[in-house]
Amino acid sequence: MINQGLIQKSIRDCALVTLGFAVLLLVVEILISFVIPEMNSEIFNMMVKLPFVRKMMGALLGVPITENMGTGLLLAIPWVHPVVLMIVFGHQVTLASQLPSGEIDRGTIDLLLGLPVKRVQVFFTHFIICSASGLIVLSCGVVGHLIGLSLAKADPPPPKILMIAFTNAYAIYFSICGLGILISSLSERRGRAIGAVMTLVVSSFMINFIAEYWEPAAIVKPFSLLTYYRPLITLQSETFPLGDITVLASIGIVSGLVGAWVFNRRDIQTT
Amino acid sequence: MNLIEIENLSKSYRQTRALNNLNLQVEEGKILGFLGPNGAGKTTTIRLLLGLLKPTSGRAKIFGLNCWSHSSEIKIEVAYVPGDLRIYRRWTPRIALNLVSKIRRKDILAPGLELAEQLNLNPDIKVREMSLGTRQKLGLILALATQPRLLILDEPTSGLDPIVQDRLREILLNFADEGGTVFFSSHTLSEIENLCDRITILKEGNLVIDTTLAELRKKALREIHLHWRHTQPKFQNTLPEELDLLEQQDLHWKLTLKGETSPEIMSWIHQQNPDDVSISPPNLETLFHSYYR
Repeated sequence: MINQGLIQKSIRDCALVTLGFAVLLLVVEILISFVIPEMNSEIFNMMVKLPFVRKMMGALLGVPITENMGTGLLLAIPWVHPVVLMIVFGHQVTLASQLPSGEIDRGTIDLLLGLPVKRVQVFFTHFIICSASGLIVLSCGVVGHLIGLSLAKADPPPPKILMIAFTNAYAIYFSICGLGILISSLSERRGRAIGAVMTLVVSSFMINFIAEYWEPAAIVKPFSLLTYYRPLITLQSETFPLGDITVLASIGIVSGLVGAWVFNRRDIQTT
Repeated sequence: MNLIEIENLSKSYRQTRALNNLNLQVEEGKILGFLGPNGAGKTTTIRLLLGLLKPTSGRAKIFGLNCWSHSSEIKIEVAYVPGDLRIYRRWTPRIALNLVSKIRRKDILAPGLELAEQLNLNPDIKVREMSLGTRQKLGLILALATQPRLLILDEPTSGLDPIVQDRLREILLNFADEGGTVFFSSHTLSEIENLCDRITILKEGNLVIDTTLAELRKKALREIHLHWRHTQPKFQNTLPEELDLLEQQDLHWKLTLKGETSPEIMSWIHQQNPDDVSISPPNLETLFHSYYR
């Protein structure tokens, strides 16, 4: 089942993109983690009093924001800052859409599937390499976070807390990887696949955001991915969010399996 | 032994019938010219053979294995070159040969580099810097270096210069001499005329003709030109039925002959006592175009 050549090919396809996003996340995390501890908590509490800011942060952090939430709120920001999320999701969508829709779009799938490989072999090799490259990008984010805190002479969070937050972040990353590759399997145009995944991500955020203003919208919150990503609660409670991680991991695994099934049965047309 | 066996193979895309009940067999060690105008269903047939498309009905088999359900096993001994080959832009021929070797679990680097030298291809040039013709060369190298039992070529000479086309013809003839089978798709007869044992013509998804080149030549028309220097010619004996007089000028007649020259035809020409005679080879292009229309 394991084909070294396919693994090498997938690594070649993902390496440059992963390196670029990893460096970008490292730099952004350094900046955010450096700036936030410097922020005067009084100014921060004033900002949180602004309804729009409070709702926006509530949507991102997955919990209602109250005043004087303390250091937990500050420490959670580097994990949910919109720029950070854009980088993380951007990386995943870029990689997940490479196969099959990207390969069909470029026409390179003819060369790949003209070789003696099973479609599921090609699919899962790419899925595994995409998922693994997420670990590299997020690890660079953690390193950037620690560098930023150290430059700001702030105390780093305990390793246990960091591990929990990292696992939760990786879980949402993995779920988007699965959904991305599933949507990519259904599409023949990479642009459409990227658009569909980004719509899904933005919709998730919008559901959470609207639910903050309009209570009936809370009914659809379980369908939003960001509902299962709540770093603030994790950092404050110091408990492993097993339920959230299970939901996100299940979405990733099920999407991946359905994607493989679709790719294995579909027609491949490049012209 | 039939290497390829296609039985009642059909493929539809929504409302469009791209291929309609195709029946075809290809013997091992033969070169089949698979012809047809654009949109005839050639590429659809090839994609069905490669397991890239699922048949709507019927079946295709290579080495006795079903092309859809055993695609990866079949491709161990099959190599494919599409017409407009797209290769990963950052690859070089050397990288491509290395990776394909690993994917195929068969070392094709040395034979590939040898072929690259024969076809005058720099093994370290990046694909993004290659022209269409150079990319085609790389595709052919990747296919030929694997030494497959069956080579499937879908309009492979697009972009190749005439010298490389000639070299490719030699390589394919050698390949067939050594027992390899070639499925050569093209929309021009001239490309395969001196190469194939048999030709098949598709039109609008239907098989129009499946014959040998020798048979096709018998059906093709030849032009006969008779010239006289001074004397006004007159018909001697009646015109044989194989001949058709197209033009009758003062000192020049133009006729067409259906089929091969026979002693009777030669005798009739002799009776006309011309000063000069020319008989063209069978005009396959004209016949071929008649199947396209």
